Amino acid sequence: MMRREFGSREELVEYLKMEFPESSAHGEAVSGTRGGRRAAQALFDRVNPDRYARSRNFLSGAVTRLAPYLRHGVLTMGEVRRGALGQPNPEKLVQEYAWRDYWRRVYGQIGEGVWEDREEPKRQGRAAQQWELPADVPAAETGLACMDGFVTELKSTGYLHNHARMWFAAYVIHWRRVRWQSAARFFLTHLLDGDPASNNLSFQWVASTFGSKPYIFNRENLEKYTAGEYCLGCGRNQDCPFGKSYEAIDQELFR
Amino acid sequence: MKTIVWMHEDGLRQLLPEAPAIFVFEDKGHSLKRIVFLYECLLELDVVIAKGDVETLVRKFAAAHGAERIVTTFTECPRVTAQARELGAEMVNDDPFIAAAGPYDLKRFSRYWQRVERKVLEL
Repeated sequence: MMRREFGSREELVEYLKMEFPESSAHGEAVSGTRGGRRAAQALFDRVNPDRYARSRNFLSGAVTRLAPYLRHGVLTMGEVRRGALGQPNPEKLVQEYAWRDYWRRVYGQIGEGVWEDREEPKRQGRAAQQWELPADVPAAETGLACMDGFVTELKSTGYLHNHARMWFAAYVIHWRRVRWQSAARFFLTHLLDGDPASNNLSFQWVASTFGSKPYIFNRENLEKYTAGEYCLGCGRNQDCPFGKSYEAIDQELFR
Repeated sequence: MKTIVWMHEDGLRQLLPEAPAIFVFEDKGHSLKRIVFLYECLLELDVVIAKGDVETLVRKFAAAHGAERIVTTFTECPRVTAQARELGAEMVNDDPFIAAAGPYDLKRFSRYWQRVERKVLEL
């Protein structure tokens, strides 16, 4: 039986390092996000569906941060749905919860099939070909302040805003031409909410192996929703691979 | 009938508050931060925490409590589902997103959403 009494969080972390030595392969970071119903309840009480609907695409937006608790059943999908419906303008938030339910239902149907392409990629032009994640990506050494920033945040906190997850996935799959599986595995290792259902199937949505077209973005989009926080000090400010129109990027990536 | 709860990673909540519960860590290649998060969830629950082989330890726990019935939270995870089957555990979907099970057309989110929208937007 494992221990249940600890004097402090530090003591708990030391104990778990000893009990799970193999976990050190992924670093020794511990998230500021606490596990447990109490922490979940505090976030749940602050959920504001109306502000969520208006601001969720911004990194500074009123997102719920409930994912790790939903992922592990600390909160139920039923209670968060009812919680949203008790407040003004709940539709968008409930629809986003529905995505989670949808991915889980697909997972129930296909099981380990979440690791395989659901469909052929839609734009073959420069289809992703490389299986391994290039070393500069997980090392946060691409030189792109946004992507390196996302990786650093993911590895140290176990969290990334959904929009950052999408940008990162698009960058790795379409610009770096890496098969989505290796990036999905990297995310699953580090995300507190890592779930083969929503994680892998969202990667497939970006790759267009579970969706009708590949997801891409450009600098203008990233800069807008991050309030420019990455671009400002980026060493590649002048040769940003995303600094083009959608048409130009589409031509470059998929022709 | 005496019952125990097998708690797994997809159901870290008190399913049957009266029944003894056990959680078993397996080597899943988790990062330390994920393990700390899971452990903190468990410390708030009335549950015995163990490490090793799920089937062996859950069976032993059931025997120690003289329980013939094992109950666990519903999940779509194929591994947990297979383990539950192996243990003869009953899966309970205690508070789902949608009360009616479906089936739904899952080819695209839009088709599923069309079917469930009205249902999930009413209290």
